[in-house]
Amino acid sequence: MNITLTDFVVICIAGGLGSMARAGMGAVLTRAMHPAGAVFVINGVGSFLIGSALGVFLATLAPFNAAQAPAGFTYFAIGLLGGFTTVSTFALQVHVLWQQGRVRGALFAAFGSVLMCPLLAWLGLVGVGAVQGGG
Amino acid sequence: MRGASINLLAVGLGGALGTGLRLVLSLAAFALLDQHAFVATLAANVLGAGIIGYLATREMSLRMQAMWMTGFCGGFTTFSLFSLEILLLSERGVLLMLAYGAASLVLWMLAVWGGWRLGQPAASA
Repeated sequence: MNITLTDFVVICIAGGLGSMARAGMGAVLTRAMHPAGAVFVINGVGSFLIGSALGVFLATLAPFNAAQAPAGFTYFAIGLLGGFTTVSTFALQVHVLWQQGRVRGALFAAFGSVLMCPLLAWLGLVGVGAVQGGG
Repeated sequence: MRGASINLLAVGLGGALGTGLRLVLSLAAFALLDQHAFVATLAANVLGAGIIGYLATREMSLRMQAMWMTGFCGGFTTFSLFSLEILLLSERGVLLMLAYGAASLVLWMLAVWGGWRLGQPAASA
């Protein structure tokens, strides 16, 4: 992976902006739902977008080579979406639900996220392929 | 309102720091391990979960929470790259994909629990 100093700075700034977007979206979502639900929505949206980005930038999954990934993809995927989505808050929410005795909620959040988010990434990839194929 | 804006900037600063540190881990993994670089994402996610578990037990101001928990831990860890790596691993074998997914979830949860335990007062541990 060839990263220049400029790339590094851009990715850090993108990560900061993604984190701020997560905080803002989280604040809005938690008015309507449990914090664990808000984290699930955020991670789901981010996963869908990273799959879509893979489709836009690289067209296909098979020859993927991160070392040759275009700069635009690293800014968006590693920076912006990396900052937007989170495992730490997700794991903390699951832990808190478990501590509160809400075992079903904890299991639902944990397995729901780990199964649904990769599926959403795949849907993003396939969706972009379908749009480009039909266009 | 002004306090809320400063907290949001604190999230951005922490998020940029966390993202930079995750990138350093990724670059090191690419240099040392070549194609097995997905372990860098796993390492960042496990470390970040452990740190947030510990921080959740500490008394701190909203601004410090915004910077270190929401910002730094949130930017350091990433669910979207985990999802992407699951897709990429599916090309290399379903078993490898399932093993990575299951191991990730178990390690994240162990890490957050470990950090939480570490932060508890000795009497209740």
